[in-house]
Amino acid sequence: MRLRPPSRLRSRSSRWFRPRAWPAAPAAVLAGLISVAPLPAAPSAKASVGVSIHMGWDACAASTAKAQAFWNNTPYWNMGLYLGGVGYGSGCKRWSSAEVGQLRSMGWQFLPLWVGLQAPCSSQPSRFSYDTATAYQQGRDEGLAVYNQMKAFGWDTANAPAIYDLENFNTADAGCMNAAKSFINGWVYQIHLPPAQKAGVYGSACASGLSQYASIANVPDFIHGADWDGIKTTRDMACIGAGSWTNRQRHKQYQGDHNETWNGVTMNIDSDCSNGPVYPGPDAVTSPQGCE
Amino acid sequence: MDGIRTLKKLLPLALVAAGSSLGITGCGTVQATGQATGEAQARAGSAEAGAPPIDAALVTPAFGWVLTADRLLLTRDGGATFTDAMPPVPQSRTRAAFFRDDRNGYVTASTGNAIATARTSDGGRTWRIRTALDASAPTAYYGRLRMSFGDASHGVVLAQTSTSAMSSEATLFATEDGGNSWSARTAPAAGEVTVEPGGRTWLAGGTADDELHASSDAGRHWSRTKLHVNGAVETKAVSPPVDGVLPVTVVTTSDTTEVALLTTSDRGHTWREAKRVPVHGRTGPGVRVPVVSGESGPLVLDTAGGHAYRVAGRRDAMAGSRVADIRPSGLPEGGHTVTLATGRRSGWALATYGRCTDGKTGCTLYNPLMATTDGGATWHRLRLWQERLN
Repeated sequence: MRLRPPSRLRSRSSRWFRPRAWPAAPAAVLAGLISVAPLPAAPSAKASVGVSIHMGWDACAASTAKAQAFWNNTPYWNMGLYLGGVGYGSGCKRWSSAEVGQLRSMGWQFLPLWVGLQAPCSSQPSRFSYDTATAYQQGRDEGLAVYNQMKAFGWDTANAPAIYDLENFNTADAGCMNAAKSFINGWVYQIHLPPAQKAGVYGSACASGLSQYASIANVPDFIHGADWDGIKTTRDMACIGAGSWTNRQRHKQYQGDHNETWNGVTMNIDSDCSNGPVYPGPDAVTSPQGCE
Repeated sequence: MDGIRTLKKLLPLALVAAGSSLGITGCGTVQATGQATGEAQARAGSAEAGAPPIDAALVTPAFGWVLTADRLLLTRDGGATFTDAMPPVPQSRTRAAFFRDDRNGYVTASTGNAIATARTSDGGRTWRIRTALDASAPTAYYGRLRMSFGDASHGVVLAQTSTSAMSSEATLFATEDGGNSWSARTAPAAGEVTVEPGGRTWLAGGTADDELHASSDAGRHWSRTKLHVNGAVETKAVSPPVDGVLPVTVVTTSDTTEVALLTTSDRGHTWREAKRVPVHGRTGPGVRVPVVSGESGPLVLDTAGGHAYRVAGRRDAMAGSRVADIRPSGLPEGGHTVTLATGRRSGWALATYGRCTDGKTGCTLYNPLMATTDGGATWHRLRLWQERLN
């Protein structure tokens, strides 16, 4: 599929430090029109990224005390951390910078999630455009927004993973699917701007069109697929081809909202298994838990 | 789980016939032929093999059911023995069940973008199948199902379509003819659902599980009710009404958990707090502390285990009533699905709690099915499912 070029070739909100050596117009045209090799990644920065093969959970945010209860003597190492976005659930507490620091000091490694605009054919209140050029730019804007939030948390963003939460939509609606592909194309492009981060996409393994993003110009570095089949391994993910995102490039949400009680605290969680990037490092590739 | 995976892929092809805009896509009748081989005769208290329970209910003091990803276990002796009814729906974790009595019941399962619902009127011996899809959402993928019937005609299946903790979307499949036909309609949120006799449907859910919606026309129109909970709270998780009382689990600004019991004087348009019951268990957002209708009023079962609170008086008489911790023996922590059967003396509770033997290794989730025959004062274990996590 040929994606329409973005209407605005120069981003209004480009990162202030972006080197002049990256002319905005050619880069955007390349990203929007043809498949190109991934932009060169910055040298590995262990402080800001690690590869995890461990189990995790995510929830509408709770207190740090409850997150602590789910750390000690539990199988969980990773935590889905929603950083923000216009789609942030009303009624869900927002983590403060200090609380995020506390979570880090406990030992949690994060799956950093951003929940912004959603597909134009979805029933979500805030949606990106059907127009592919506009959607592309909106994807870029979301990439910049998550970057700014990470900086506000004081994170080292080099190579840090950022996951876009794209909820389910009618993937049979060709116009909607094209808009989503263009939006994710813009998201990944923006996330890859130096200092490059790792761009991920979260969604229903089948109903968010994840497999379609393997063929866009700027392919996500990894995916986080929701497939509530109860099977932990990230290799087994409905609607995702076995040949896609194979090099420690997957997280899987294998069970949806359910209650678990650990250390006297009951949480309603989604269960995740990882074989992909988390924030911060170091790599956590020992003590396998069946996620690979 | 390989078998489940295979069936998950094959059964939708077998069950889903050509679609229609009305939503009904297929039907059929089958005999449950595998009961003898499917019997689960494990002795009480021993660990069960197979997938852990999705849901369970004791319907009468003798008849109850346990639904797992691969079995529908029925008992006719209060839980001493179980038989696998083997309903002809896909084996998956996306399943739900409901029995109105010991003969009439339903089991539903997702086939991907449709639901297959099996109905029995002879206690699980034979089943009739219907499949339904939402013609307006051909690529929907249902992740979690909830089912309720109010009477012989009115029932619903709530099928969750959203997956993240930041979203709450679902499709409501409703029947007004006892399950012969189903209509798909957009629900105001994902969550928990109950249907009253006559068909009024309550839906408690939302992203933060703090909403209560009502519909009197099988989901064609919804109204969001007004909830008045006293004082400042951090989060609140609303359950559907239980015998005229609306339980709301609140986490206070001091991070303690309490259960607010709300009543209504305008047929459910507004609910006001009548009683507050502090509990020992600590809960996060979206966790509903179980509340059932006991012999003399609401019974709150503490997620900490070992505590349950009997509230004297029903509805209007609740405000000045006394709350007594009956300190039940045998009630484990992590209780989440509790039912009392007709007569309100016998009941079941499902719980889920985890333990690790060595830091982050040797971790297991325990899913006991507990039973009481004295209104919740004492509990004993019927079955135990263990999930070794690492």
